[in-house]
This record gives sequence, C-alpha cells and structure tokens, in this order.
Amino acid sequence: MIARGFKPVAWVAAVGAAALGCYMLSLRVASERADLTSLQHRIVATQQQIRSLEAEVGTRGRLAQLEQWNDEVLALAPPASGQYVQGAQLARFETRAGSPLDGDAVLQTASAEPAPAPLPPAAAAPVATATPAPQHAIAAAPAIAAPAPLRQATVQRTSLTMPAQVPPAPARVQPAPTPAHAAAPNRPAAQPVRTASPNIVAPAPARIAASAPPQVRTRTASAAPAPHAAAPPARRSGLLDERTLRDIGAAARAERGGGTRD
Amino acid sequence: MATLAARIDRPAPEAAEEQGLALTYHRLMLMMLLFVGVTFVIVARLAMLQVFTDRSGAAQLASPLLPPRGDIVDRNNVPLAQTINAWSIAVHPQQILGDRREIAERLATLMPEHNAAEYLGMLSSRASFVYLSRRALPELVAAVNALGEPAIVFAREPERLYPQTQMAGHVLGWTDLEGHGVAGMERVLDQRLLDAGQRGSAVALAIDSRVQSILESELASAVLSMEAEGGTGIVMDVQTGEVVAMASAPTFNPNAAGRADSSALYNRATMGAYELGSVFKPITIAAAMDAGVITSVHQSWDASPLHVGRFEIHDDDPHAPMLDIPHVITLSSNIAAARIADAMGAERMSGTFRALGFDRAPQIELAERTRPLWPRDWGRLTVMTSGFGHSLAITPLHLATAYCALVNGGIWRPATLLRVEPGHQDSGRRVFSAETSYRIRQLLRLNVQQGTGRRADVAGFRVGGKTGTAEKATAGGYNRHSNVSTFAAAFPMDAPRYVVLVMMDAARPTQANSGVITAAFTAAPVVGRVIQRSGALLGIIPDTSRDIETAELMPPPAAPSAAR
Repeated sequence: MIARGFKPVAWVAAVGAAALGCYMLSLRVASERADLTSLQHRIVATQQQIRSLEAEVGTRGRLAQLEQWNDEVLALAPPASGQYVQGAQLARFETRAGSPLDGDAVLQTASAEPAPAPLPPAAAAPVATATPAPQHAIAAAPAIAAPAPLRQATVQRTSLTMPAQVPPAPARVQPAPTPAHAAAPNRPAAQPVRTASPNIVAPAPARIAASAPPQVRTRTASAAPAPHAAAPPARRSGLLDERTLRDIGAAARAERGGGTRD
Repeated sequence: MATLAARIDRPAPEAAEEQGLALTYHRLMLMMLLFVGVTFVIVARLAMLQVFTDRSGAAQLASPLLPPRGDIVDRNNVPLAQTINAWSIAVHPQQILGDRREIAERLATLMPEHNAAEYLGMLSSRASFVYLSRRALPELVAAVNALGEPAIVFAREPERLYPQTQMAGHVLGWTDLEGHGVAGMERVLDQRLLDAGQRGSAVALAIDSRVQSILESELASAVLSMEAEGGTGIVMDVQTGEVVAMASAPTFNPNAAGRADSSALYNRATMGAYELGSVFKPITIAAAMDAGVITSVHQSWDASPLHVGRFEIHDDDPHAPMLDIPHVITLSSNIAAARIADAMGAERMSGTFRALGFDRAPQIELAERTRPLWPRDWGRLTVMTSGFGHSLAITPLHLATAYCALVNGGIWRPATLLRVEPGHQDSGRRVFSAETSYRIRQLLRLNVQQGTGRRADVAGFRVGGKTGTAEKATAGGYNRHSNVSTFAAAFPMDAPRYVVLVMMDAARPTQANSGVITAAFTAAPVVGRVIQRSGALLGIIPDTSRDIETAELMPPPAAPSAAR
C-alpha cells in the first residue's frame, strides 16, 4: 500500500539520479576538454617561446660573431688541400680472430691511437740485422709490439691494449709470441726466443721488424705530439680544453646585455 | 455580492461552486503549463548551448603559430629573416600621474635616442597615444616599468628580425613599420610572405649563409686594408644560375636600415655599372673562336702599338710584337684584344654582348638594378675598346652571369636568388659552343697558373680566372690613380661548379696590396681566400692530383711545365 503510494517518488528519484549521473559525466567531459584546451594553449605558448629562443640563439650565434670568436680565441684555419685524405679508412675494427690482415689497414688503425710510448733505440739495430738471428728479431718484436700481434691477433686488441700496457719489455713479449707460435704460449720471455728457430716462424717477425715499424713510427709521430716513454701524458679533452672554454665564456660575458626572458 | 443576492433567478449554489472550482482548476492548469513550457524552453536552450558550443578553441589556436609575415631562410634552412614579438613602449600623455619633467629625464637616461626635452614634448603632447620605443629589449622594458608611471604601457608587436644582422643585407632588404618590404627580397616577395595560405612555410633563398659570411668578411677586410671606396663579391652556381653569395661593401644592418648611411644601401653588385676592363677578353676570344676569327690557340696576333684616329691603344707592359692566344690572356694584351674585336666587327661583337644580356638590366629578382651603359653607335673605336672591356659599362652581376656561360659549356642562364631544386633550373640559351667553353677554361686556368691570376691559386681547387683593371671614368676622361679592379674566377676548372667574382672600387696602394692597385694584387687574393675558406663547404674537396690539361696551349718548343 505504502509502496504503491511511493512509486512515483521512486520513479522521480531514479530519473533524477540518472539525470544527475549523466550530468556528472557531461561535466567530467567538459572539464577534461577544458584541460585539453589549456594544454593546447600551453603547447602553443611553448612553441612560441621555442621560436623566440631559437631566434635569440641564432642571433647570438650568428656567423659574424662566431668568426670573431674564432679570430680572438680559437684561431682555427680552413684545412689545406693536403689535409684531405681520399679513399682512406680512418679506423677499422677487425673482430675475426686469426684472419690475416693486410699491413695498410693495420697501420692506419695504429696511427689513430695514441703513440705506443716505448720505442727503445734497440729497435733500430735488430732491423738491420734481423735475418741472421731470430733471437734479435724477437727482441725487437716486444719493442714494436704493434705489428707483431697484428699479424695474427685482432686490431681491436692491439689498439686497446697498447696504450694501457706500460710495463717493461718482458711483460709485453708475451702477447707477441703467443699468437705467433701456438706451441709455447705460457713460457717466460726468453724461452720462445730460443725455440723460435724454425724458419717458418723466424722470417715473420724479422720482416715485420724490417718493414712495418718505420711506418708506424712516422705515422704515430705525426698523430701524437708527445710520445715520451717515461710518463703517459695526462688525458686531455681534445681541442676544447678547460682554458679555451673559460676564454670563450669570458668573451661571451664581456658582451653587453642578458637574454630574452619572458 | 450584495447586488447578486438581490436577484431572484440566481442559480443553485452547488452548481455555481462547481463551476467556479472548475474554472480555478482550469486556470491553475494553464499556469502550470506555462511554467512547464518556460522551464522546458530554458532547459532546451541550456542543453543546446551545452551540446553545440565549441569550446576546443581551435580557431584561436591556429593563428598564433602562423607568423604575420613568412620567414626567409637560406638554402640550408638557416633563418635569415624572422618575425618575432618584440616589446614596444608607449605612453598615454593625457593620463600621466607623475611629474612629466622628471619622467622625461629618466627616460632620456634609459633611452638615449632622444634627449629629455624631446621626451618632455612627447609626454605633454595632446595626442592620446605616443610611441616611445618600438623595438625595445626586455631589459629596457623592465627598467621603464620600474619607473612606476601607469600611463606608460607596454605591448608586444610583431617585428621583423634579421638574426644574422649585417649579413646579406643587400639581398634581404628590409621592411617598413607596417610590415611591408621596401627593398631587396622582402620587397620582391612581399605578396608571398604576407599571403595567409603560404606564409606558414618559409621561402628558401639560393644564398648559403656560410659562404655569404666568408665572402662578406673577406671583402670587408680587403676594403678596409686597401682603403677602397667599396667592393663587391658574387659566388654563383654555374649550372643553375643560383647566387650562392652576393656581398657589397660597405654594408648595412637591415635591423636598423633607417640609420644606415645611404652609400651603404647601394648594392654595387646589381646597381653599379662599371667599365670592367680586361675581364672582357675571355668573352671576346670566345666569341671570336665561335665566329671562326680565331681558328687555333697558336694563331699569332699583332700586338704592336695600335693607332686609331687620334687614339692610341697601348699595353701596360712591353712584350713580344706577336702574341698567341694564351699570351694574349696571360699578358693581358689590350692591343691584341682590340685587333681580335676589330676582326670580329661591330655586328658580331655587339651580338655577343646582347646574347649575354649586357644591353639590359641584370636578370635577377631584385628591383635594385641598373641598366648598363650601352654605346649608342658601334664605331670602329668602340668595337676595338669593347674587346678589352671599355666603352661598355655593366654591373658585376652581368659579368658573373657571363662567366657562368663561359665555363659551363656555353649555356647562359639568368641569375636567381631563389633556391633551385635539382633538375628544375632554367633551360637557358646557348651562347658559346662547348668546345669554345673548354678552351676558355684551359686559358683561364693557365692564367692562374702562370699569368696575372697567380695570387688566386689555391692548391687543389683548380682555380681559373682573369683579372681586369680599368681606370675609373670621371667627368673629363679617365682617372689614372683610381681604378676598378676585378677578378672573375671559376673553380674547379676540370668540371666548373662555381664562379667567384670580386671587384674592388678605387683601392689605394697600401701594405695589403704591396702598393700595387691592379686586380692581380687587390681582387685576386680575395678570391683566393674566399675559395680557400668556402670551397669545401660548397662540396668541392681539394685534390692536387686532378687538373684541367693546359700543356697543349703552349707551343711545343717553349712548353713550360704547365700541367701538373
């Protein structure tokens, strides 16, 4: 009885709730849409700011300004024709172990690396008298060290291990004969020298010592300005070292005015 | 009620009551329907508004990203002209609250363009709105704002900005305060840059800003060190006619074109007509080769002094009485060039010059052009002197365009400042034969190897070119101490890609040119430095192992080591 009397009220309540739900949904959509719009406005504002900042950077970094900085601080000159190398490969990383490498590619890789510091004068002597005694030839091999492993080891290994290994000669003899004579991998330095009598092996280091090293030396000498054995040079960050950057910064600050900030 | 009560035939009270009640219900129903109807209308209207109102704001969003005036970029899309929102400072003089005199003094210290009295005049004017500064930096806006005067207002207005400042000012031109181009490419492209449909995308010029910058800096330092009146330089692509760089010294800053000196606004490359001198000789020789007047480079020409009427044509340096064609170029013999022109005759000489467009203003988009001084009648002396670049005054751009045709295989194409997409270049017209063009390339290269152009030789770039030094024409003849020296070059000569031309106007003898004001000492070194610095940027890798064959130009017995 009572329930029947409240039926219209229940209907109204149900309809009202449904309408309210729909309205809430619509309100939610509207607020989402408003958020989207404000985001779009912000995107536009940011894009405009990007544009104006780009204009500012372009104006501050205009070519005439860069040239003036170059004249005052960096003094870079256009490269001469001799500095362009054609058809050359600057670096090559050979990952296939044991594959025979041609001398040229190896030498270019070596030239890109910091100089192998120790080149004792002893190297020169065995070069001349390489053939008679294999003992001398291998004595030279550690000194050069770059070409010796290159014959059979990988370039990657050479270039990466070279600057790191500064220990004296006997330690470095190890990699050299290891690939060369597979027979005696772990003996002390002097041992393989003696056993290296077979004439198949002996000529190989001898030839390396005779032909390759001079080239290596000339290339590296031109690439690295201070190839001194005693102390490996401190690591430098290339052209733009701390002082240069500071100079540029000072020159920039000396200019009038700040930036466009809004 | 009292009157009703008096009536006899009044109806029964129940019936009347019933009737009255029905009427009341009726009226109530009507009122309710009215309320329902109004409510419904309001709700419907609200619903409509809710549904159909577009609140995405897309209409307002589209416009801010579209610049009021399109950008101009170089061939590598480096911006050369942009429109930015700059601050402007203005004042409502009627609404000033503070002391006008004090504000004027403070403004004068902040903005020294005007003095305090002028600012006071602005502040006490009867106008309702006066601009104080139209392109203000944010710092200045902040400083003026700190004055605290509410009548001073700040607004952001679109302003044209040339980020590279001085660079390519003559090419770009500038705009007026309403944003219309009044000079240069701004003027040429005005419609295109303002068109709502196209201004969203930038216009690409043929200019390469790196090369332009190099050319301008080398030209400016040469003009300064040689105390010249001015100078001009052009770098052109020989195959497409694109002007990769065009400079004129003195230059101006298009950001403040109004403050520039009027002589700086003068673009010598397209507005200056000069008698350019010996740089014409390769044109004369090429025309004579095509006409069959010169049959072989070993053909000898009489170079002994030449008298025509009361005039004498002479050479600067003494040399052998007979010269072959390579020596006519390397020794730059006026006499031999005059004899070749004489053998060609008026019709063929003027025909060649017409074919190269020397009889009308240079073909380029710019409106700042001048017509050449074309001789009215082609008498014998005129023809002879035209053979070595006198009696005919053309602009440096004319010459650069002609040199493109000389070295690119003989096709003349108009110069253009708009980037040309590969394969879309003008078809042009043939002016010289391909064999003649090859010969001229050999001769120009030889002139740089052993002639007057040695100072422009850059190792590996295979430069070839011709010098030209002409005394400046004055009111009563020629001025012996003031000249126009030009070097027109192309590189690399085995497959020419670019023509580089530099002209120095009235250089003085200084340390920079070793006291000699001929083109070999003034213009040629500038060309050499420009090629040295920009060659690789233009995509030419110097290579000393390649060169054009020039040994065959030399007679067999006296063959010097020309070819490398």
